[in-house]
Amino acid sequence: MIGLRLLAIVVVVLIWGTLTADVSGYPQLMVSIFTNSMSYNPGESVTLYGYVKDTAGTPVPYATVSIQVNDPIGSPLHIMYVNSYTDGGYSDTFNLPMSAGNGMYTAYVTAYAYQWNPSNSLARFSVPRITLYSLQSRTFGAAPNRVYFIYPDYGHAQYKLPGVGLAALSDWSAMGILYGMCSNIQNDGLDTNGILVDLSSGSPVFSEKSVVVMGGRGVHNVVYYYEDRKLAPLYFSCDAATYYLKKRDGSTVGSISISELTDLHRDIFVLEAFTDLKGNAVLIAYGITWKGTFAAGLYLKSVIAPSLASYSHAWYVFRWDDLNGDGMIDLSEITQIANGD
Amino acid sequence: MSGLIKASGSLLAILMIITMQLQTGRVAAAPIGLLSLDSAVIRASGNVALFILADPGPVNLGVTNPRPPSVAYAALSDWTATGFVYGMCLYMPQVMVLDSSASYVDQSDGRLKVNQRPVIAFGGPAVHAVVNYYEKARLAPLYFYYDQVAGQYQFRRSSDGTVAYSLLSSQVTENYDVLMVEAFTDNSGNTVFISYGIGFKGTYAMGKLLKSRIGPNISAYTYSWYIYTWKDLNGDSFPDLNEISTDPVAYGS
Repeated sequence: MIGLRLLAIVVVVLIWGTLTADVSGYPQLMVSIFTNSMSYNPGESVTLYGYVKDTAGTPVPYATVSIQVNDPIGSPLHIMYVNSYTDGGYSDTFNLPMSAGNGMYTAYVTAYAYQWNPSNSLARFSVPRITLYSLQSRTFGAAPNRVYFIYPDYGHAQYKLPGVGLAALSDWSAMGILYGMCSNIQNDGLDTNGILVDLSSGSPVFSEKSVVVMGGRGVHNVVYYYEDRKLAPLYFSCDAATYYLKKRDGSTVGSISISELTDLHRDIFVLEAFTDLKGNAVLIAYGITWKGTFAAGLYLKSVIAPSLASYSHAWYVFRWDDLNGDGMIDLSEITQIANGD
Repeated sequence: MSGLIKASGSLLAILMIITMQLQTGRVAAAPIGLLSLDSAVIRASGNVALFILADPGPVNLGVTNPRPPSVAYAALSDWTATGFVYGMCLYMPQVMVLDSSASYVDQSDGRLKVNQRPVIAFGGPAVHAVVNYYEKARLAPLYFYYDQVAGQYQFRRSSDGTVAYSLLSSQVTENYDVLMVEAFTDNSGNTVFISYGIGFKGTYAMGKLLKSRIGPNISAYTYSWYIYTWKDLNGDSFPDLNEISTDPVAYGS
């Protein structure tokens, strides 16, 4: 059955190749694809969803959407055809087999419709499920030299990616706390160190290790890479009045107005865990300001770590409000505002 | 800033003030072995250990707090070094406050208002009110001294004023620093641990050293103070563990 569907997809792709050449005057479809989680365990249900729109963002209903999910070695695991709804949305749910191996899975989607140029996209998810709790074994309890703590450099501007600026030492404030939590001696270095980081992309050069990074995408090569490629569960965004933390599908999970941040008595921060394309277990923590970043480390050590088993989601967003006005982050001033996978 | 080099305002002026203050010798409190860090702090019950962070100033904090005379605002890299030890603690939470907290620290001179507590105070006397107090009062085993004539940074023994370690001030650069850690009991029964470098990198390096090298073998650290050096061997300006001297360049009780 899968073989037949694969054949059908190949045929469709070949036809598209022809059509693309012949129908260049047709309007362009735009298709997106997301997963309801960044990671799953074998046997769990996976929901894929997205939207088919035109280039102006207007929904395109009744488009045909072909979906193919490949396992980590590139073999088709799931193939499905669906149609977009009247709002342009589509979804598809399937169960991972119990035999699903560890690694990165890729979901490919192609949308096509009569007298439209087709569009394709992809999304990735990993097996097994990774949560903050996973970090106990993969990071804090890891064997020696299995974890890389990567600091955002405050110098060496020539080695920062476009769009990434120099950090301040305040961005380092909580790294010591997280390093101190480790059972063993681990590695560390700067995000401008070519031995650790591919300076053309920001990707760590190593694989099957653990990574801890603190600081936002504006100052950290590695965080920039993970957010820019939508590999992290959440990413930073802003407009003229507000800072946002958003999911990969663009939905907002946390926000704070710029005016709220000006006096340094409030912040929001994220703690998120995920697996990257090289099989590294990644922990990203940062606030919009340095206080949120420090609060992330302090809260992880002081509140989360003692009951880590109960933190079964991949990402958490918190808010800090300086209730006593002393400017210092007190644990009682931190509240969780969102979580997810 | 963590140590002294990046103190806001005139470094020389601050050093001279501190030097004059520290020349008024007093009797040191009881030194204890650094190994007591394990029982006093790492294994402390929750809400017992007191981590005192140097106030980073209104620009960073959003609040303007008074400072004792000759104490400047700190850089946040000192907090990183403190974090290494906080992260090592087995029981949570522990108390973390600013040195500008009037509930814990007498803001006129930096004297602690608590007793019988384990206390962590990382940062040099130019930026940390509590460290400034202990050095000025000669309660810490060592105190920092800038010898203008010799052009040296010195760590001197509070007990007799003799030089425990010195180096030319020109030696301290972006790629070289000295780092010190010491333990003692003050007159109020507080078990105090102070650490700092001349520059902020030294302070950071000592945090890393405490976690990665000293901590796993803490029982061997029976002396009350240790001084190490950091030399940037790979030129990245980042203190790597293997760049910190294997053995202390000076130690004592």
